[in-house]
Amino acid sequence: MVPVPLTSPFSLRTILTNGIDRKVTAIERYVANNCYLVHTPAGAFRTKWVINCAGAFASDISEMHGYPNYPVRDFKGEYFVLDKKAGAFLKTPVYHAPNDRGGFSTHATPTVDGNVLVGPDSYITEEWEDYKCTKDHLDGLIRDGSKMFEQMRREFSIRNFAGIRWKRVDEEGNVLDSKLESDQQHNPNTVNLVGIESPGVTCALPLARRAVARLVAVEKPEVNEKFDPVRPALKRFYDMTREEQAEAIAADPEYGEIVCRCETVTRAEIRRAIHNPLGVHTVTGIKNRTRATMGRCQGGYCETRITEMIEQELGIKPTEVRYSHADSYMFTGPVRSGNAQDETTEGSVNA
Amino acid sequence: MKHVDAVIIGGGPAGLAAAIELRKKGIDDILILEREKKPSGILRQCIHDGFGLTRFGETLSGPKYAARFVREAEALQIPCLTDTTVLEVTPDRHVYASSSEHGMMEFEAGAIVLAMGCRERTRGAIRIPGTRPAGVYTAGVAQAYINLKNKMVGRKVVILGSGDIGMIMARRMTLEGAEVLGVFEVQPYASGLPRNVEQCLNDYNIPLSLSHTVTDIRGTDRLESVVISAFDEHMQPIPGTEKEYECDTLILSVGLIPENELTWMAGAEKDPGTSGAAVDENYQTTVPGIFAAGNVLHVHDLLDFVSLEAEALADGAARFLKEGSLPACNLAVRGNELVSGLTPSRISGEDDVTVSFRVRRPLRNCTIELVQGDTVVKRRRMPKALPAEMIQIKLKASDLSQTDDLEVKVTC
Ligand SMILES: Cc1cc2nc3c(=O)[nH]c(=O)nc-3n(C[C@H](O)[C@H](O)[C@H](O)COP(=O)(O)OP(=O)(O)OC[C@H]3O[C@@H](n4cnc5c(N)ncnc54)[C@H](O)[C@@H]3O)c2cc1C
Ligand SMILES: Cc1cc2nc3c(=O)[nH]c(=O)nc-3n(C[C@H](O)[C@H](O)[C@H](O)COP(=O)(O)OP(=O)(O)OC[C@H]3O[C@@H](n4cnc5c(N)ncnc54)[C@H](O)[C@@H]3O)c2cc1C
Repeated sequence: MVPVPLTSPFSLRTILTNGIDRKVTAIERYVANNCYLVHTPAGAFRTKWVINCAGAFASDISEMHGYPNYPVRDFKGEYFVLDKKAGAFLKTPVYHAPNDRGGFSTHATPTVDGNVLVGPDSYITEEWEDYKCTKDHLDGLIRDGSKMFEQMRREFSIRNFAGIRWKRVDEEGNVLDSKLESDQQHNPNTVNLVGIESPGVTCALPLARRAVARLVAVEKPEVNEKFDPVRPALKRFYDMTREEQAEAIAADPEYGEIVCRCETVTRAEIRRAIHNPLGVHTVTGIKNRTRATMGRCQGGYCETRITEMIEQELGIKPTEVRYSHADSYMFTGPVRSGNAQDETTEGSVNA
Repeated sequence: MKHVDAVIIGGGPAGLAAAIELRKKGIDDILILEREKKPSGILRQCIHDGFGLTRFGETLSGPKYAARFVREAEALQIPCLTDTTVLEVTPDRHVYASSSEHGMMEFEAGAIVLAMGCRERTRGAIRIPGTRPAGVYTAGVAQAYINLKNKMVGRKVVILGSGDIGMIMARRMTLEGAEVLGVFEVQPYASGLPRNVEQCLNDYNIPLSLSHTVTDIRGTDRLESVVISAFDEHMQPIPGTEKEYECDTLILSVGLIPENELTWMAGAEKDPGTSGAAVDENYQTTVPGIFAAGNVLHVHDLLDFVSLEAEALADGAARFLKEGSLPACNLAVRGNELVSGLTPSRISGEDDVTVSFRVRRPLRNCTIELVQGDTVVKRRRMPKALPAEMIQIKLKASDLSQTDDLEVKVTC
């Protein structure tokens, strides 16, 4: 059997779900200083090189730093996330045979975390950033998915989501290869990646090596022999042995407080995720980093705790707490004026 | 590792009542483990009143009802470790729990009482199509934000599901100045209690639409609108009935699920009818010495029954601790097609037993018969029976045979 490398796509997608304060809005070239100024709502960044790997927005960025705004089409796919209990029945990905054009659609994949993903299907959407799920396609996933994975039971479904593969197309809509280019003559010190569609995660490392090679060819930097590219992953509390857990709590008592009970995520891990250099400041950002709210109760237990941590750790007001995107505010204000009372008083409140 | 005679997991009404009753039965070495800052369970956030009529003969708010048990437990000096989450229960009755204060703890228990309560069914579980904006809350989460955290979750509200918590939240949000556009229920009848339809919806002119459900959720950042469609008797949307409601909040009250992760870790068998553990007349699961009561066993509508059930559990658990085992329960309890959520699943026929269940759909003029072989042990006629209301029937040992299975037959 061929081993299939699996990784969690969720941990790779935090920036968009963490608000858009660093969204690139314009790129200016300063020929005299041989540099670019990259503008974002959080301020401008001066840089010598720009590498465009902006996924959905790659064509826009492409135009910003001097390349064509390549036409792309949105091939959308919807998914089911199934409970870890379903994971016990699936140890290897199940695909059907590819069709005539080499493509395949709905399949069942066990994730590294133990859940099962069923999907994606594939269809073209004309709407911009259309991540909604639809009844027809969810029904289709149940129909096709049940053939791949017979345990696709109702009680196992946790969540649905959709993703979009941006494929480069010609005027007739025929799918073209993705682009990895650098035009040193017209747009010096840039690398442009557009239409990096499936299997872009699997190919991420080779693509990155090629992009870096373009930079190296121009800059010819000295090799830093001391650079250690391996950063040991922090072990999750959930993955620790009982002894390791006991040690972790002894070293940092916040490891002892289980915030998310379904995925066993501790207060210490969420605090770290918030204050990490690439910190996450929204409920969804914390979810993608730590898995808190990702389990079968979908935040029923921990969401009230997580929103409170976001307020406390960042020193913001409840009305500033966001669920995921730009204006996804969760609270409209206090219920009653005065300080929040953590516990209701014992007296009978007529409500 | 520390030995404890009785470890109680969960300090809600079930756990508290079990602990108090165990102590009264002479079990001294008891420990309650509770993950919240204080015991009381979900009652902390149920600040409406209507609890306690059966048990105390008066109606109390949730926190007040719980406070009676908390005070009694305190007076009996029953230890309760709060801010402590149980991570694992093993079949040989070891309990692992973690807290910031005490670190990782391991207990070896003489008996274990599972009283973890339930959780709410979510949007993902019922697969509502649409976008995934902020502003979609389950009723219990909205209730916690509003009643415990003083945070208002929205201003213009649609409620999906006519469960009790949803109806209570419809009233609660109306009282706090929000506009509740309506409660929508996919079934042709309300899933919560008639009392709540009257007192939470009708009294406030909040419309209840039966055979309707949300078929689309719209908005990218915050919820902007939902689409509601009428459903036919086969639970399929009727084309052309879609209506869009502008709102910033969708509250889901679409069912409770017993919280049994620890139960399955301990190796207990499931009762397919309740989706809780299969228990016998002593509330003992299929793992000796591990007992379950309250919402973790089956979802209750009347809190008073939770307390009474936990007290009954304590009888069996105390006997187990004193005698080392309980008599075998070899008679199965089964229901016919109109019966759901039947507990217990096994009895001995040698003891008094309370049988609990619900009817599958609203019924008028029905007859309930509890039958062993050819003998009708008990018969009850009911002018009206609703799925929202748990039915409990007490049977005396003297009326039971020790040879035949027990069947619950509802006919209409
Ligand atoms: C349904 C579906 C199934 C897939 N299945 C697989 C699979 O099984 N295997 C596989 O290998 N691949 C799969 N893929 C493809 C894979 O996800 C993509 O190819 C891959 O994510 C592309 O990586 P990327 O880094 O180029 O772009 P992205 O992952 O899209 O990352 C782009 C990043 O740039 C950020 N960004 C965008 N615009 C701006 C801006 N203006 N300013 C600042 N930041 C910006 C975004 O927030 C994002 O973080 C699938 C894709 C979909 C949609
Ligand atoms: C949101 C909501 C609102 C409700 N409103 C009403 C109502 O208005 N009227 C009514 O009659 N009934 C209501 N109910 C039903 C009510 O829950 C029950 O009647 C009663 O509270 C059940 O008691 P219990 O002790 O079984 O569970 P709970 O009250 O839920 O208590 C369980 C306790 O166990 C703790 N626990 C769980 N897992 C662990 C663990 N691993 N480690 C440590 N501790 C743990 C929990 O923190 C909790 O304190 C409501 C239920 C919910 C969920």
